[in-house]
Amino acid sequence: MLSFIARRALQTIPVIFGVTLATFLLSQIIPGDPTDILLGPGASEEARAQLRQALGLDRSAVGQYLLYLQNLVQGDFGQSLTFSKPVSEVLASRMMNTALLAFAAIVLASVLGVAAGTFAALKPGSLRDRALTVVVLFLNSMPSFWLGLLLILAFGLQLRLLPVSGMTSGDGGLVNLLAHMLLPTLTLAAWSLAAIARMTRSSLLDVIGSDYVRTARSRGIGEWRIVFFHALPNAMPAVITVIGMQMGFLLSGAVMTETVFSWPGIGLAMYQAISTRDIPLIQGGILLLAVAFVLINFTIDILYAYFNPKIKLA
Amino acid sequence: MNAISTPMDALRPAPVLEVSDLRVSYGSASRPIHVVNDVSFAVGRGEALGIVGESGCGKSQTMLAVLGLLPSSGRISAGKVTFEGQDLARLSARQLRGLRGKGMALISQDALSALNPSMTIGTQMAEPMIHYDGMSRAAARERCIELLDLVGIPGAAARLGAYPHELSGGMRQRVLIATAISGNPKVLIADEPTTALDVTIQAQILRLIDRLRRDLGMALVIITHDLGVVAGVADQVAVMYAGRVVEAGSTDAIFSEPRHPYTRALLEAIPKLDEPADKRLTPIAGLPPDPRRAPAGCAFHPRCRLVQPLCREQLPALEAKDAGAGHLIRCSVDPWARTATPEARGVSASGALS
Ligand SMILES: Nc1ncnc2c1ncn2[C@@H]1O[C@H](COP(=O)(O)OP(=O)(O)OP(=O)(O)O)[C@@H](O)[C@H]1O
Ligand SMILES: [Mg+2]
Repeated sequence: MLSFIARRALQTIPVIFGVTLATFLLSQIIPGDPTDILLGPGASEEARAQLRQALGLDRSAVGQYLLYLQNLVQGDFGQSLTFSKPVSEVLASRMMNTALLAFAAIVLASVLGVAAGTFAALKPGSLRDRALTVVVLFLNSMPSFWLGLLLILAFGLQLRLLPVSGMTSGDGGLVNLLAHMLLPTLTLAAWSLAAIARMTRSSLLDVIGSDYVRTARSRGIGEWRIVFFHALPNAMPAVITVIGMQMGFLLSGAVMTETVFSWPGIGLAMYQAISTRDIPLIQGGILLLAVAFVLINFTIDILYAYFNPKIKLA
Repeated sequence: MNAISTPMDALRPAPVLEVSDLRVSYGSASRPIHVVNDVSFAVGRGEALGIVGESGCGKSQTMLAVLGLLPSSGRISAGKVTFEGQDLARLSARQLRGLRGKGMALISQDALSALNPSMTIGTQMAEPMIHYDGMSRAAARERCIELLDLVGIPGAAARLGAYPHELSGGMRQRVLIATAISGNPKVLIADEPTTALDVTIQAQILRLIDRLRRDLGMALVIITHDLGVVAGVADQVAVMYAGRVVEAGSTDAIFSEPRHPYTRALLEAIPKLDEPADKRLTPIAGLPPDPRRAPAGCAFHPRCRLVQPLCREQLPALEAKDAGAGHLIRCSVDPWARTATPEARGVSASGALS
């Protein structure tokens, strides 16, 4: 197991290098002179030259990339233009907010998704099964910003039940935070919930139709023991795989959701950075999301190997 | 109409399991597809019944219906199943559950897929004992070891922690048999218990089932497509074709006086040790019909070498004819009737039969 983890960890290194290269190239491709943005169009040629030298922009592309890497290693992601703060500070202050939202969403999606999928699979073809299929299709085909806006309209503006933007308001206690979290969490969870429910249902139906479930029934085992002790454990590996995949998608979903709900996370910062062409912040944000993605996949692979002894040999 | 139910019944033990005019259907009520039709049989205490037929003849569907384990898309649309005089349709789900494992138990064909891959042998064997019979874990463990010993698994205690995939095919089948008899069932239903095994193991498993039946006084329903299997184990035989019983009677009668052309064809397909190896077996040409496109008249007529015009139109009844008591035949032509002429058997035409 340890050697598997080590091997898998080594594999992530080239991926992370690839990502730094991509974010670096991003700054090269984007047209326009960075000194224009930093100093404004009226700046003198001298000031521009000085700034270029300070930023290393007078070096070759390779030299610039090496400088970029060197700065990254030292935790220097550059200076955010919009926030007039180091990018690392902007990201650090927002990382926890995004993590909180993503974590709440994956927990909600997993719990509700598994429950709904199980509920439907117990009576295939029944009214509740068909109702679930419709809801899943609906959630799956609805863009998250659209669902977010609908929720804001319904719960925020019409019913005035829930706050629709920001993380806290007033004194900002736990209840206040949870109230602010509810709609963005639902929005972010919707797509994953649908995917998890669908996988739970189909995987569970497969297992319930299997010979060993029939054997258990033929021995007088009751229905709830069949579901919880025979069917669900055997249906779980497929569901866990889907949950893992959803965690990756949630990161990208967070950009939309945070923007719609003005949730002060990385996604919102990215949105602002893109609209103001704040290239260092865009680079930093992409890098952070990509590394998070790689780490999540790494963890899932380890978990999967832990639950499935056959993979460890590979 | 009660098949295998004649004056000779006085000589047979009282039925513990009785199936009458059973019909199993799939599809909508307006366009049903019947996969089992008019099936009747009775198994007495300690008696062994063999149900024989090719693949797709409805043998498994019949037994799943008996156990109340049809998939949700299927249903018993006619007839009834009685266990110790109780109509199973009148039992609550809970009573039915209590009957399974104790009244009737099932051994299925493929032991690997019939055992839960993520539970150890011990856990699945002990589950009903601990959770439904109120046994302590220690007592259940003792009982599992005893059962594994009984089915001839060496080092039983050490096997309790094994997962099904860690055992050989023959061992798994033995484990499955041990789980089936763990509730001391009165009727053991074995659905092709040996098809997944190689020939030497097959014989061992059959002997084991036969010995357990005698030792534990269980009635046995053994399903197979091989009449040879039935010969050694069963007292009574029902031959099924396309969802219907086409011939039924005592094993002796079926082997000494097979009357239905399908039964005879099955008998010709059994390899015989006393015949030269180069004598070809005669498999029956063609396949059983798809229940969705069952032919009119006798379902066997498209494959029957002795087909008459009547066979294409009229479904024959399952009748006693002039055979011995309790021997029923579903054939309009009945070419091997005691009074039939050799011509009726197509001797002059092919010379291959009779
Ligand atoms: N779930 C189902 N829906 C519709 N038809 C079914 C279903 N299950 C079985 N059947 C049909 O019922 C018929 C009888 O099947 P059954 O499994 O009883 O055959 P069998 O005699 O046990 O064959 P085998 O020797 O292959 O086990 C088959 O034609 C099959 O197509
Ligand atoms: Mg079968």
